[in-house]
Amino acid sequence: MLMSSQMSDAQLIDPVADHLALSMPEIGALATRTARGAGFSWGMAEEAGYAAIWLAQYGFNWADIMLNRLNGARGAHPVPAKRKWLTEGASCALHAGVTLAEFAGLPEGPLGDGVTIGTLLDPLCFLPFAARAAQITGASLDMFGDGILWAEFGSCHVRLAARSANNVDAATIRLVVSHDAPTQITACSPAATAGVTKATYARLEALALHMTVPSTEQSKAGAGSVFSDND
Amino acid sequence: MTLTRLGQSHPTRLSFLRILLRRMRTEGWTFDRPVFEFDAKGVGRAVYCARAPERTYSLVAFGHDLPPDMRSDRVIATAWDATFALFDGVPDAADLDRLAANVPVQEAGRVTSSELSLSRANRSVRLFEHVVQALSEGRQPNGKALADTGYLMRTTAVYGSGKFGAAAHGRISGRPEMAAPFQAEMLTVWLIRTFTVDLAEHMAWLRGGDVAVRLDPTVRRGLGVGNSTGLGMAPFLVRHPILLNNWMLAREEALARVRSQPNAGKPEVAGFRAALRDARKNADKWVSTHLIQTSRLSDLRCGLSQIERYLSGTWDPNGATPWDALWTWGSAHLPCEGQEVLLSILLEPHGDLIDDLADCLSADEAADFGIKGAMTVADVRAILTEQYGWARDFNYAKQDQCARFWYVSEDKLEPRLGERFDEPGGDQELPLDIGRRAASLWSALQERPPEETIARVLLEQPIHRPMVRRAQMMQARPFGEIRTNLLSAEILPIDMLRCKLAFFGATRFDPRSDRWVRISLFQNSPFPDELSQERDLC
Repeated sequence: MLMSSQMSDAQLIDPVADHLALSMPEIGALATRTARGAGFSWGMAEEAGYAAIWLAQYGFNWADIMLNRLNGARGAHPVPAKRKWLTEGASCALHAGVTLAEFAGLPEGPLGDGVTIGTLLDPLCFLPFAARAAQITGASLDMFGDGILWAEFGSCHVRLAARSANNVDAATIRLVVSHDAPTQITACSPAATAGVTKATYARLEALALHMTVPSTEQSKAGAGSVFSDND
Repeated sequence: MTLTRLGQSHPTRLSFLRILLRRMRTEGWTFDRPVFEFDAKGVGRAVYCARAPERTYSLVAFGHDLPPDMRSDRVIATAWDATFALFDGVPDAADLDRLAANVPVQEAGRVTSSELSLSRANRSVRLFEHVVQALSEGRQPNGKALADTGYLMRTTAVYGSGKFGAAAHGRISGRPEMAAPFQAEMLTVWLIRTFTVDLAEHMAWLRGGDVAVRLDPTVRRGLGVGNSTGLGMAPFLVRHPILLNNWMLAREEALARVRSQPNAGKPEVAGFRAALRDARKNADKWVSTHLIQTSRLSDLRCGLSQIERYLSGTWDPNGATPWDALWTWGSAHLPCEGQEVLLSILLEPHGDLIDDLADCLSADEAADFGIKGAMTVADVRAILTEQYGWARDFNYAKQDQCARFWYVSEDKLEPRLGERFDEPGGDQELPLDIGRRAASLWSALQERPPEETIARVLLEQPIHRPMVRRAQMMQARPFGEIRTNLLSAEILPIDMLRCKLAFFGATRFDPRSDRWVRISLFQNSPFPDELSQERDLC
């Protein structure tokens, strides 16, 4: 599950290697463009950029997770409600995550008795927003997938058990305030760079191209100097 | 905060290159050149080390033999006269080989988290050759030719913070010497300046042998590094409103501190007069053929004359709050260019009073990214009323008020500005239409109960998410927005460029179109061998 964030930079720029090392700003920008290219609104595309960086920092296969979410079934948008959100079928984990963060401190959020979000598609996309919800509320939150503890989030710590859930396409997510001492799950520190296979990178770029505009002679001419640079 | 005013910005002592120069001198940085291997055409490599108290940073430079027909300053170029990377530490042979395989091809290569910047430069063809030839013949180059151009090479891109694999700014922002904005990029350009002179002198020596002479230090001092830039830089100020706020806030706080001084000390008055003389010299040498800039240069010279007359006549340096009196007079009587240069001159002799503001220029923008969903509609309306009233002054349905759109080009993934009614691509518009979005959010919130949470609004109207996020960021940040409709047919992208470049410390702003500009950096600044003797930086 862990990608190649431990791989050295020298390995990662080897032209014959299968991987590229990307900085976090590159990952954020690429995920934003890719989400926009996939038809997400600008607001959601910005959030996809945030989510990709978070996943990459914590060693997840951010590129495949994002590609699955952006290329997969769109899913429903859950409606927040106390204790259990209302959904019509499986929901998009990105939309559910953004909504959770925005309702984090409200009665529809995880404080009090906790909240069942429902079934999410590509549920690992939800992790970054559960982390943000913990920061917003200042509470320690436990996140369960299909009844199993996936992660613990505090205002200053992240403990993950979910890496092995990389291939889970869907899971029922529940968040509760943690009242117990931290578990044996190992605390994580964010990485500075993360890897992506060249094949996956090409797929992300291809999707991102949908948000660009082909150059015209007019736009090319207008973008530069009206004088020669050869002076 | 209108774009027209921002487009008349001048560098100040809080500009980023000045912050770098002061720190290097104060901390006693040392410099050496462990590698310098070039042939008569300027092909080869060099390493320049800047040794700070805790760390060393190294500029790795590659020189190339560029055919004239390949010389382009545009981002579409694929080859350059010289290419560079700023290495974090001192590179070993393996690092240099790795960089030699990647840096000369720029965007087509990859660097690593050991690199802090990636950049390239083209020669000013006529001046570079003239200088090499003159020095090779044992004489100094023509002074007017040097003054007219002002640089031997101009950079056409200086990429930093995570671009093409380089280290993200967050990785180095905890270091004191890299805490202020763009310090790695400024250090890169300052070392490139030295490289351009070293290369010209070296090529002259290879051409002329013992006859060759070095560039007179006085002449050398007048050389900066040119920079040629276009639309790629323009959206930065829109995309980073917290940074823009901090930069402008520092400037305004600095001005307020100076204006509040009850007296004008003799050293400060002398420093002010010296800065005014320097501004006059700069204005006299500053040339541009661009119509708008020509008009602004006229305003600048006129404004400087007005200041000079006011100083020799009405202004009483011994009166009460004399700097405030001067500013108040200038605000009422000077053209915009004159006011902006007056601000720069006023700050110049007050380093002890304002230099600490350099610590307030950076920001952790990620910390404010998440939307505060519990905020009420009434609270968001209050922010819009306070910070975005200007946005409702435009009728965005009128053709001339939505004539332009910003987009990303398919070929180079660079920002471009399109004509909405003449060009395709309007459906892929970038969210840089801040005024229109703010006005739209304002209208939407009129229909909502004031006590409703913004989270509930976004659940039903997610299209407003970017503007809600932005409005929340701008709460209590009054200087984060360019208060102009950026879709207007009248928009001048070069104004966005000048504002940002002035914060860098750029001079000699010379537009080459309404969206392309050349400037100079570090002109008349000390070289590494002069830094320790410098007295006027602090």
